[in-house]
Amino acid sequence: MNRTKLIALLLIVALGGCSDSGTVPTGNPADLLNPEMRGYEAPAGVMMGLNETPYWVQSAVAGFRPVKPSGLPGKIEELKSRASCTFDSPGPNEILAKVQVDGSNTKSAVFAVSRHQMGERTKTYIDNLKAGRDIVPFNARDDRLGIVDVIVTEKSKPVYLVIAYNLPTIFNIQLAEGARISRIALVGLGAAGIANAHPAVKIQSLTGKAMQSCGVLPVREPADHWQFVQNVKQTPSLKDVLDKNISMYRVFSGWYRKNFGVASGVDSIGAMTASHVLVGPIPQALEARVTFKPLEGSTLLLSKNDHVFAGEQADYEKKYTHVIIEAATKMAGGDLAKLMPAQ
Amino acid sequence: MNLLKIIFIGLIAVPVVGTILLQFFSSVLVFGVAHNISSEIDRIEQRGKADSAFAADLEITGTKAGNDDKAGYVALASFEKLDDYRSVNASFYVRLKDMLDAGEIVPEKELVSAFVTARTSRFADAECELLKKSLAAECTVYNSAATATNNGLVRISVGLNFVQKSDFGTIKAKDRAAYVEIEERLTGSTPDTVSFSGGAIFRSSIYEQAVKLCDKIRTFEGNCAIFKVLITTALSEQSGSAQNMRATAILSTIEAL
Repeated sequence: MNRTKLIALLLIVALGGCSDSGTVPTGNPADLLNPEMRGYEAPAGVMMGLNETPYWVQSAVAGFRPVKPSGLPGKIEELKSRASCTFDSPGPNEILAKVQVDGSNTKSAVFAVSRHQMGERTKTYIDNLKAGRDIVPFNARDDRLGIVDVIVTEKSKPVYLVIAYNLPTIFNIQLAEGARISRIALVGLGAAGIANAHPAVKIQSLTGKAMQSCGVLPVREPADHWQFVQNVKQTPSLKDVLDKNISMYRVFSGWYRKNFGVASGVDSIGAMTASHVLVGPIPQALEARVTFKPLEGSTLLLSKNDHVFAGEQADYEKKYTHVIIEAATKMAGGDLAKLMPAQ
Repeated sequence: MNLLKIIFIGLIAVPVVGTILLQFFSSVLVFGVAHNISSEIDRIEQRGKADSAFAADLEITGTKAGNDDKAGYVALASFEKLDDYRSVNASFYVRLKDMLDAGEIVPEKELVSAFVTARTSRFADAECELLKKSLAAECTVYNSAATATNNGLVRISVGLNFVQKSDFGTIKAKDRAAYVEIEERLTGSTPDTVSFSGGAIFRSSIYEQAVKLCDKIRTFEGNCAIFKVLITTALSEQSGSAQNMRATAILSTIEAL
């Protein structure tokens, strides 16, 4: 990270901590975009708009404040995944908004893990013991859902919001006065959630195993500024990997077109990782900004998960490390010491 | 000595004694760590090198593979010790239900992989006991793994190091000798079809055969060491009921020239 980026980031952090959240930071938010292997990494405070255009989040949101590690949703309800691989097409009175991110670096206090993942971790723990290492393989960060604020300022027509993602993420809806969301389609791998959506909004989700069974992966279109694409230019032997990515993107985009009538890549909103995305224009006056709704106290609709935990990371680690040790003990027939190699 | 003197001496003595103790413990710690590292380096360097004390007065040919000693020769030269190179590798199928304790039920599918990985240790330990019946005086497990299949079976593979039970014998040569490895198939030209429940009896007979083969070589050459036994398995066409097993042994001897 260069000096300009560092100063700008410090400014963001400082402003984020201020109670006067009406201030829009000065400087160019593009200076903060970090080109990573698969596109831009936008830090908290930088909001990604159409075709990777960055803005300060405060320019569209009033009362914005960074996520509190302890900020818990008020209620968690199950968001059922579709059994079918098809979605309703957009109607003539709707405007389609295509949001696509791999994930977010802003983390929530919500953790989700499947029984399958816990089974794999239990096996790895047993393998570790057999090799003489009493190490429980547990990285709570992998199970922690990121948060992306989806700020909707589009008022010309009701918005049909299609959100594609790769990593476990909660999409926190921030709706401007006068804007309307008609439907939300959520497609991606891993756990996902929608917070602060109006109860009347129809949400269709295709996540986890159901998504995998459709034979498509939500891959974004490789672009020239991706480090990975630059690496291929310098190391032509990597071209096969890039071609494979392009091919996966085309499959996804073809599926997307079949469902929503357009390719996934063109005029999409997002980045590799982003904490806020903007659907619609930047409000012309500060008074017209969207009032920020935090995850804290909201109703969170969360995809079906075997284990969901909301709270401190240390408590989560403690609880699920214990679950793994208990399962391993049972699998070993009651005595883990017998798995360890003889001295 | 007045109180002031005691306090003064105390103030001086605490850091001095503390420093001396710290240096002492540091030396012990450093020496201990250095000693461990040094013995580990020695151990690594010894891999691939036969014990030079073995048959030191003989000129033995055929012991080298490139610049290193052959693994079989390294193992032979350490006949009475557990050696990483001297091993039994056996693969076989068992029924998943045969891994359960009495009254236990098959775990949920997400934990089956963890279950078979854990329970394989028992099978590996049991294999060591099987080996000790005929072939080994000592045995340790260095590896065990398992994969559950969709048809209620589990493929187990175990790796064991051992010390041979029968004597090595004597080297007949006076001055010059050759190191020779003999590879023998212990099953027929086609694999033996073995039931899942009969696997242990089959493998036990393989270990006995390896011992007998070594006894036979010893009667001609005066000496013999079992270097490796390899048992492999594949599901037979009637995969619900049996497995096809093959076995090979590699034996080594020092022949007089």
